[in-house]
Amino acid sequence: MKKLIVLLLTIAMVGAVSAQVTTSVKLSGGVTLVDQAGNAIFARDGSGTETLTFKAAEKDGKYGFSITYPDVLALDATAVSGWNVYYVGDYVKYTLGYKLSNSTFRASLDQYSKTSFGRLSGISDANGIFLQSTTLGDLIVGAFFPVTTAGGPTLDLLKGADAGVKYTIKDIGFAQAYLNLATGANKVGAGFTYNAIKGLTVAAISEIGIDAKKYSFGVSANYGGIDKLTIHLQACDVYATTNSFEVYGQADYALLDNVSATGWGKFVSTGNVMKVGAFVDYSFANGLTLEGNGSYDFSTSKLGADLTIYYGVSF
Amino acid sequence: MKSNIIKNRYIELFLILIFILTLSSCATAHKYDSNKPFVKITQATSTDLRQFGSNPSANPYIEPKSLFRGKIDEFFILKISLNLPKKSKISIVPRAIRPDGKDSGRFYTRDSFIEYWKFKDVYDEDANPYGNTKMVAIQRSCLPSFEYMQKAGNFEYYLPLVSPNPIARPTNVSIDVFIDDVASFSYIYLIE
Repeated sequence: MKKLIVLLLTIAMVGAVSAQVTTSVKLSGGVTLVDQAGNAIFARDGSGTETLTFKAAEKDGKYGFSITYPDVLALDATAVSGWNVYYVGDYVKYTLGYKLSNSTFRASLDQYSKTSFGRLSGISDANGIFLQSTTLGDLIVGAFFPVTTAGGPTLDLLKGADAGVKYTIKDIGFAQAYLNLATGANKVGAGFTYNAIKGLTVAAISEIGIDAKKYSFGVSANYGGIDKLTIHLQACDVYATTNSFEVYGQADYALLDNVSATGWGKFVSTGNVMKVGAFVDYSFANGLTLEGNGSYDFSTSKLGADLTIYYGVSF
Repeated sequence: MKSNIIKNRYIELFLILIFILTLSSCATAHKYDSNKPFVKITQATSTDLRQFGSNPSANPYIEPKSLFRGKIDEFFILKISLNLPKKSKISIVPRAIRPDGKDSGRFYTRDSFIEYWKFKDVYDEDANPYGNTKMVAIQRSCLPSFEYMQKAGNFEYYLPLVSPNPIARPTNVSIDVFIDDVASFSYIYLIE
C-alpha cells in the first residue's frame, strides 16, 4: 500500500505542474485532544479516521480517476474504500469502479448525519459500470450495472441493475428518485428539495426497503435569511418491526468570519433519548478547525465534553 | 396493520408535498418589473455572496484553500439579473481573455460547478456535513446553462469564472446575452 501511495503522490505532483491534468490529494480527519474522561483519541470525520483521496482529471474534466483510502493512518490500513475511472462522452458519462457511489440521485436532508434517516441510499454502492446522461438539460437519468469479481452471465447484469432520475425545476427545486437492486437491498426512494425562497431550503425524502419491509420518511428545513444566524430543523420516522421517530434542531451563529457557535437538541422516541449540546468552531490556517464541544444526555444524566482538532488538507 | 401505517405515512408525505407546492406558489411571484432593464450584469459583491454563509465548507462561492498552497483557485463571480416579460430563450456567451489572447479561466454553470466542487472539496462527499448545503446552494443560484429557456419574471443567477490562483492580470471579461436570439446585451469588465 505504501508503494501505491508513493506512486499516486508522484502522479499528483507531476499533474500539479502539468497544464493538461488537474490533480488533487486530500487528507482529512480529526484528533480529540481531550474528552470528559481526560482521554485523547483519533476522531471519525464521517468516512473514517484519516481519509486519504487521490483524484486526477484531464483539464476539462473529460476523463479522470479517483481512489479513496479510509483509516489510512491506522497501522493496519490496507483496504480501499472505493475507486473509479470515468469518461464524459457527448451523451453519456461512463464510470467503472469499485464501490461506486453516486450522489446525483441521492436526496439528502439538511443535516443528514444528525438523524438515523438523513438521506436516501441512492443508486449503487457496489462494483460495476455506471452510465449517466449528460445532454438532457434539467433531466439526468442514470443506470448502474453490477459486475462481480466472482463473475457470472452477462445477462445477469440487467437483473441487478439500478436506475435513477433527477429533474431540476428551475427556480423551484429538484426531485430525485431511484431503484436500488444492485446491492441486494432492493430499495426504492424519492425526494424533493425546494429552494425557491431566498435563504430557505426544504427537503422531503422517503425510502422503502422492499425485502426488509422497512419504511423511512424524513423532512428538513434550513433557513439562513437572518444575517449571521442559520436555523436547521429536521425530523424522520423509520418503521420496520417497530416505529421510531426523531427530531433534531440546530442554530448556528457566525461570531466572526472564522468563528461560529452552534446549539443543538435531539429527541429519539426509541428509548426516549433527549440530548442537548453546543459547540464552538474556530477555523484557521486554511484547513484546520478547533472545536470545543459540550453536551448533556437527559436519559442517562451524563455530561459530555471534548476538544477536537479537525483537519482537511489538500495538495 | 403494517400496510395501514405505510398508507398513513404516505398521507403525511402527500400533505408535505402540498405544503411545498403552496410555498412554491408564493415564491414564483418574481414578477416582471417594467422599470428594470431586461438584463443587468455586475460583479457579485461580498454582501451578495454572504447569503450563502461565511463557512467555506458550505458556501460554494468561497475559493478552495489548502494548508500548504493557500488559495488553490481564484474566483471572479458575476451576478446576472434577468427581468423578462415572457418566457424566453436565453443564450449567454462569456469570455475571459488575457492580453496574449489566451483564456484566463473557465466559466462554470450549474451542473459543471457541482462537478467542480465534487473534485475540489477537501472532504469526501460523505464526510463534509455541509456538503449538501453547498450543492443545494449551487442548484439554486448558479446559472443553469449557457443556453436555456427562462420563464417570465425577475431572477438572479451567479456565473463563476474559475482560474488557478491567481487570475492573470489584466484579464478582459466580456459577456454577451441574447434573448430569443434577437435582443442582445453586452457587459465588459477589466480584472487588473
